[in-house]
Amino acid sequence: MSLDPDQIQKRFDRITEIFSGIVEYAQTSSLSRCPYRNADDLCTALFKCRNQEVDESKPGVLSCGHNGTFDYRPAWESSPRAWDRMNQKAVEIKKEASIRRKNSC
Amino acid sequence: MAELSDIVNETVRGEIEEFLEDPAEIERSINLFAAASPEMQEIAEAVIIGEHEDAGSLTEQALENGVSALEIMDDGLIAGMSIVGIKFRENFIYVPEVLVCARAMKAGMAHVEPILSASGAMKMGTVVMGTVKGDLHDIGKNLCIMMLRGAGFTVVDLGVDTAPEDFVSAVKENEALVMGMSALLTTTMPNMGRTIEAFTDAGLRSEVGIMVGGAPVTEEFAKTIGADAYGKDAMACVDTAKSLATAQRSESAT
Repeated sequence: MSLDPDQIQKRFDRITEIFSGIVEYAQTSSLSRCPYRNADDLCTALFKCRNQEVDESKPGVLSCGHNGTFDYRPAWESSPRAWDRMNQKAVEIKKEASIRRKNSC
Repeated sequence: MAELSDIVNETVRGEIEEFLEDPAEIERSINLFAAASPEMQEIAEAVIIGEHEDAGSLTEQALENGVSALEIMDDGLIAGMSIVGIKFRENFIYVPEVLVCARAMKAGMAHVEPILSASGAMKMGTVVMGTVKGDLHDIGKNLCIMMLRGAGFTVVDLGVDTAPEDFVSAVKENEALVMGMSALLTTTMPNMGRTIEAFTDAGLRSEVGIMVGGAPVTEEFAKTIGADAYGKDAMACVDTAKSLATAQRSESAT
């Protein structure tokens, strides 16, 4: 049986509505709680973090040792100098690639 | 009005009782689940507790039993995810749990999508997503993927630490219209530029719309490296992908 595309779209709009609420709240909650910290206070990050703690009773599991009252955003903010260096690097990559392509022709 | 006891699934009943506080949401959820079949309640349960294998197999079974794709979406997958959204908003669960539940919903949707496609809907296209080489941060990318899938896109997730050639191969293999890269570290941002150059080297640059995002990334940087678009956050990601996909489609039509 063929389904009405409008009816299908209504469902996707509802899913988007639910997910938008989740994403919006994720941005707010990241101000006070690391988004990689789960409900059991375990760290789910794939990278190292100074707040990770080893629990001797649970091998292979890292817990989050932070007191939970921190603004996660500064970790995302880069210094203007670092950003300028990186921007310069990006310009160089583009230039080098262009020269390389020109020479290979 | 239905009663909580009208819901046969014990987990769903318990979730409403324990985690929902707003009377309007409680009433809406009780009415919805009480009217849903036990089969649909089970699918919702699988989404709520994040059991992706169960969500997939139960959805498959329901379709075999003749339940319509729309009923499965309404009374199973979406109904379950709406409880997840409320639990997250009320701080009973956090981002990692939400992503597990979204994966369960995706497992169910994987069985429903072919039926939706056959109806002429679901022509959103494929998006390849990944965190750039050297970067292991994935929450932002995963939230973008959740939003993109929710909007109907097919998403190929390359995970973290993705080399430029892996982005190129994935776009080629999946005939993706859009490719999205994320970076959270200033030090890994130049790898976005390297990846774009890899597309030019492979002769594929005009075949795909490229969007970039991540906390240190800016619109100015996106222009510097030659990306087609900058996505400020996961919400903007869907609109950005939609316009890039439309642009790619019209370009390939001319």
